[in-house]
Amino acid sequence: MRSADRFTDRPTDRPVGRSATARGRRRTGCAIGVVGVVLAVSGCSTAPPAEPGVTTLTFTAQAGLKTVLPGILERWDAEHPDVRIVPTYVSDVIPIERIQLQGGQATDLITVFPGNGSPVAVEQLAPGDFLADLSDQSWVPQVSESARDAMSSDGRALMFSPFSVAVGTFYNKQVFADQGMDIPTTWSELLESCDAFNAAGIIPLALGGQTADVVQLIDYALVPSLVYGPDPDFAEQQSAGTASFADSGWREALTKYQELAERGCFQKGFNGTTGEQATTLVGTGKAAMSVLVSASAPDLAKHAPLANFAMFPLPATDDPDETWGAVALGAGIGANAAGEHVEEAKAFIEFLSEPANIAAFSKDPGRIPVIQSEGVAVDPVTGAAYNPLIAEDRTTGFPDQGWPSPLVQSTHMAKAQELLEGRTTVSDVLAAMDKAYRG
Amino acid sequence: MSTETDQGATGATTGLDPTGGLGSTSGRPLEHHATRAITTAGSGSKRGPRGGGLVSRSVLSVWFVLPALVIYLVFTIVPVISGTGLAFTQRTDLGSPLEFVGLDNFARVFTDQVALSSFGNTLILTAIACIVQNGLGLLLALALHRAFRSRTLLRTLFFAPAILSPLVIGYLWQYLFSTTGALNWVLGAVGLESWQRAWLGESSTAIWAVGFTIVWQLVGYSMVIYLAGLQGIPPEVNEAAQLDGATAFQRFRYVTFPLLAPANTICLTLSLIGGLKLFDQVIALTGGGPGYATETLATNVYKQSFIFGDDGYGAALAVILTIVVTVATLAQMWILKRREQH
Repeated sequence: MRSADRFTDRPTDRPVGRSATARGRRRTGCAIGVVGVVLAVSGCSTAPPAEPGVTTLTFTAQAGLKTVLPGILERWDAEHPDVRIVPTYVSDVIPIERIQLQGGQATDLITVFPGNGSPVAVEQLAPGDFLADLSDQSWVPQVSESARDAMSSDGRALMFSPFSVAVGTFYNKQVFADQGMDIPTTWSELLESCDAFNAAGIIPLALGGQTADVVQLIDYALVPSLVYGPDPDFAEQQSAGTASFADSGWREALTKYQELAERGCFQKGFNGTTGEQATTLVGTGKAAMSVLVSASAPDLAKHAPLANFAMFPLPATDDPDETWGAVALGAGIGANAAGEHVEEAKAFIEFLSEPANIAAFSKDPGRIPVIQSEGVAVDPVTGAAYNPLIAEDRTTGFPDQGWPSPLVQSTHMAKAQELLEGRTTVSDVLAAMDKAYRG
Repeated sequence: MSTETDQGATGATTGLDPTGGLGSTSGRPLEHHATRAITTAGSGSKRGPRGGGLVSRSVLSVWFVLPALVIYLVFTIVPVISGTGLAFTQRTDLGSPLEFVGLDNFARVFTDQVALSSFGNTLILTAIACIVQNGLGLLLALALHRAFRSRTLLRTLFFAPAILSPLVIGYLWQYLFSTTGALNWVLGAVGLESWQRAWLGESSTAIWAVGFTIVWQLVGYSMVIYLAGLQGIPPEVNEAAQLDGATAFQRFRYVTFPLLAPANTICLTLSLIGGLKLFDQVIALTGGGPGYATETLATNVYKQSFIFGDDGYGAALAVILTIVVTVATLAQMWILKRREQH
């Protein structure tokens, strides 16, 4: 109306027809402009359409959950028809969630990593009060103390992770049987098995040295026995500044890693082999062993029946009783404390801890259910190797879950590659890691 | 015949002087007159009876531009300004407020070995992109400018990689360069086992393997730009030089190459910018490794900001990258434009 009045008040020193045309043009232009802006803004919105009487919870979920979550949500919908969960699957949740949290746009349910070391780990999110307290939920007393610690900050449970994974040695049972070899239970036996497999023309240990995530795994498998198992307070001492990588069992771990390379335990050109190719080598029987995350089991099963493979914790000393396992919680779920539906989000997390849902999360090989109860099957490959250690409390988490920043992990990966290439020394690697730890 | 047709068409579309640039001095007054004519018409229209119509048109065009302007403002200008501001701040954790730290983040760059190494790697890869990619592109263009039967097919084949995603190219070459990949297989098959190596796993070769991949993908792009330039050069110029007794090399050195100056400017500017902000291929091929051997400024910015959560430092690196790209591009443009004028 206002623009029409303004046009009417204008001096009429031009033909009426032209004025009308100009008005039409302006209106058209205005309409196009407004529609364009509205389209641009509405195009950015990801909010699901509201349904009357139904509360909708948003969830930034890892893409890996695509195979599991729909079944769980079906059960949830049947039990809670008034609360609908709408997941958005993303392959790399960390940068997306950081931006959402910083901008106050986080979803009701958030993917959270246990411990520290990731920008969206419990210890990183706790100071900003981003996560709702789950301490009064029924699953909290049921999980092991170490799992509870990893899911908590300052004694408050802030996330729930339904399963753990291990880092250990996968081996091809057929290859071992053909060579008449036993599983090495000490460091010396491991080196001897390297020599024996090399003599038989079989790669002893396949290493995907080109993939940074894989390069770190041998150290991750060694340090539970050399650092965190024998000295459970190491992480706290390091945090307090009274311990360092350089003056710890990390030195022995890196030295042993280097020894494996120099002894010829890895395949030729291991630093130009990807993690996927290394998995294929052990899967097809060209290699006898490979140190991997237990969740790699389905990748091995692409090459041979899963029953053809088994795991053992990588020995780090010459006493089998001193071998500890590396077992850590996988990514879990937290409730956005600043969300509009905190109670509903907490109820969904409580629902996830029910045996049927833990079983669903743990159905893929290589995953160890965080609560092992009747009806929750334990994968025989991982379970056989790690359940006894879990029962004896001889496992520690992955070290990066205790580090203050992902920079330490990244430094370890890059420097380990340089070490294996012979471009740096163990002392330099440790000095760089200490520097990254101190920030 | 087909060559002549191509030349005519390209000359018209690229706007190159049909006299091959020789008549540029005589062409200037025409251009001047044309500009004056347009200016006069424009200024007169504001005062004349048709002025209102033109004003309406300009108001209408503002409305047409507005959506794009708003989007550009919201998604480019505002983030650039706030990102630059972020470079002067630091945050202790996700929930804590930003603290102003002055130039600390910029000072940190000069003591950070990874940042310095990524800067060096970026310069090497930019040099490869500018020199090797454009040099080979020019050679290919010269070869495929001649008339022969499979010319179109070869042009298409050489240009094809340029239209593929850099990530796809990166993953493809990661496979080909791997220890058990095709390159080592070929070397073994021809008896060069001693040359076999982990191309992407050794620091001494990884950066060159990344450079090779960039050249392989984008050489066709340079080739097409040079071809367009070559097709804008009238054959009479070369024929005249030939009649004067110039050898093939002399004709290229003193006739063809100087007339390719505009194409050269485009190619060098594009490869300079592309090289300095190289990201996709590096992430797919090596992720910056082994160690930090192929880390570039752009991959380092990404890791600092989105992996390590160090927003302030990541933004400082991004500001430095922007300044480097801008200064290098402007300097190069200035030098090349001067050469074009000569």
